[in-house]
Amino acid sequence: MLKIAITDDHTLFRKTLALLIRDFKDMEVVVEASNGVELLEKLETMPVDILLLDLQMPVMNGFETAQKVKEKYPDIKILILTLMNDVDTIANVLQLDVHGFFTKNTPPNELQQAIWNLEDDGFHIEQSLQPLMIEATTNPKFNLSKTSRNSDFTEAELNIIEYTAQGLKAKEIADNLNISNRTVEVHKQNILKKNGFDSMMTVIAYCYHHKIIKTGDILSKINKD
Amino acid sequence: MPQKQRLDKTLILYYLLKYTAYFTGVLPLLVLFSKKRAFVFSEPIIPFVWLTFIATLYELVGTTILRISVDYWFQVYSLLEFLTVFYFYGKLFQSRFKTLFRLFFIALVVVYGISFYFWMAYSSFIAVAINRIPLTLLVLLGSFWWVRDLFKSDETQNLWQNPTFYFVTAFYIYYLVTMPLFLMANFIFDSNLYFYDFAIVNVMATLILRILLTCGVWKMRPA
Amino acid sequence: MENETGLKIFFWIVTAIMLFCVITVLLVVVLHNRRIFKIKQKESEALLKAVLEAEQRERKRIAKDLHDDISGDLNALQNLVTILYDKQQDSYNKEILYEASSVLSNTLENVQNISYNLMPPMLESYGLISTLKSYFERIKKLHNVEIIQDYQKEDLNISSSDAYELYRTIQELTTNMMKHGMSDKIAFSVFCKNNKLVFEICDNGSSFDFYKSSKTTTGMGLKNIASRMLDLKANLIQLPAKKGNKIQILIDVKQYN
Repeated sequence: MLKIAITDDHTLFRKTLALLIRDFKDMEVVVEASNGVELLEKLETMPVDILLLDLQMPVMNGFETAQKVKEKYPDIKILILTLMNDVDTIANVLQLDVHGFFTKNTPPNELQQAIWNLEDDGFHIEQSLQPLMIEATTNPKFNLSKTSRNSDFTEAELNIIEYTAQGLKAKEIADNLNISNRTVEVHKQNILKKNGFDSMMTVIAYCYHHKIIKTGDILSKINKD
Repeated sequence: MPQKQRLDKTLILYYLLKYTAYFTGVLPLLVLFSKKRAFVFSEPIIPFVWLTFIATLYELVGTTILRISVDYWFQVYSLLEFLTVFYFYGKLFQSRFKTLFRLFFIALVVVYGISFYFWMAYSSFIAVAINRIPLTLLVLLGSFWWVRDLFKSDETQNLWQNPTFYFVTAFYIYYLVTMPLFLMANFIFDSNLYFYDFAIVNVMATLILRILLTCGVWKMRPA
Repeated sequence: MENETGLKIFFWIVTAIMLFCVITVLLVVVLHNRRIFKIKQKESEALLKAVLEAEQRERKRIAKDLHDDISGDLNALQNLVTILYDKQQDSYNKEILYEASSVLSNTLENVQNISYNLMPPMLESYGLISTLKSYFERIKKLHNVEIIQDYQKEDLNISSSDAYELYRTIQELTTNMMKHGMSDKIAFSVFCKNNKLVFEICDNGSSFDFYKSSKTTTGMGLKNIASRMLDLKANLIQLPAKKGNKIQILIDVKQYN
């Protein structure tokens, strides 16, 4: 049973979202909060696997809350859930090094898949947001603070990153590279641990920014789907 | 003879102006009545308007018709004049400059007293001239203060619609022009030959004063 | 004769004094009128500023209400409809619910658009250039127009109310060009020239004379631009163009340093 926490200052949305998730299989909402402070309070007594976090909240906004949650509870996977879908917001979210980004405009049923992606793959990127993501990362002002030193990826790792960006699942990547699932997982863990990233989403953003991956290929792959 | 023709011309002009001046002397009060402000003594200019009216009547009746000597009238007028003009500036500045006004009042009274000596010893003209000196100073100072207030205030009133503008300008022009007139009259004119020239300037100045006075009163809002 | 010369001196002196009096009075009148004119001008400038600021505040408030409250409620509705849809077995009902969901989706998008048009939320946090970039992206998608952007200066030191006025002006001009001018290609650039910050818009639509149009049009859009230029102390000039229009907005850079 996945334990989910929802933090959003819009009460009606929060409650209806909780209702919706209740109907999803194998998940339950254990914490509901209307701002960051309330969330942190409740997290002290209730363990949580996944956090759905809004950005615009009073008292403590989404960015601040995400940072604090990452500090105190590094095992919680954070999915940012917001109305804003402009380049600058995406840039800021990527720089946070969280695990996923989900816009409220997306049909709610896709949320279920997004949460499972978070649990299984450790991250979730909405494919329709890829163009915006690419635009955000190609801005010279984009800055992932942890990585002031250049990160090195082996060729195998680069392949995995590219396939992941194209939206391939672990099994598909394993098939394409003729290696086992387990190996793919190990590579992914190495990528994250060696360079201090918390999620593949941030890795992909980093690679876009430093032009390690060709974004044109990714875009054409996405548009084909 | 050219001189006699000249005298005739000046005489005609003089009388023309004089009767116009009489007309404009009664006008302000009449306009005041039409504005229903004839007895509103909180307005600074009222006493002076009354004085002008009374002076016009007196001159018409007393001097022109009855031909009483002007000497007595001049002295009396000097007193009334300084009282009403002083009233104007006093009311205009309400309670400000109290000490200065008191000083002026004392100066005016003292000078008036002194003027009697000159009135008896020399001529009524000199007396008038002497009385005019502190009064002109008062007018100059009052005008200066009023203009200074004007430039300090935030009101956006059009000057041409402001009655007080006309009054201040009237006094300013009149006293400034007639001051040297009276001062010099005694030292330059001994003969009657040029008396009328001098008198014409005086009447013209009075005319201007009264016209401006009428304009100002006309611009007043009806009570 | 003494009297003759005396008379002459006398008249000259009196004339001189008369002139002096009149000149001083006229001087007072002229200076006073000038002062009043300046005061009135300042008043009207302050009034203009107040009106523009009131508009900005109102729009911001409405946009915020739309964005925060209404969007959130619509999202909640979507959640509820989705719950019903998932539970629903009957195919007819399922169809209805699906329709409901797409209507909600459209409404949500409309509300977002309205809110954005009223006041782009990023204007205050990310500045004018970011907002313009995002605005032109939306225009590209919504209206099928080709927009070429060239930002030679990106770090603008502009107050947020000035940024808002500039944004609204550019928004108004662009809308005008597309709606009335039927343009399908717009070039927008920002650069510095002669100590002035320049925003330039060119299009390939039907040419219109900005100043003539703003006088004859009944809509408030173009007239408002003139007011905004006045408030910003900026100039709007229309340069001759072979095809279409070329409009520049110049604003002093010194003000912002």
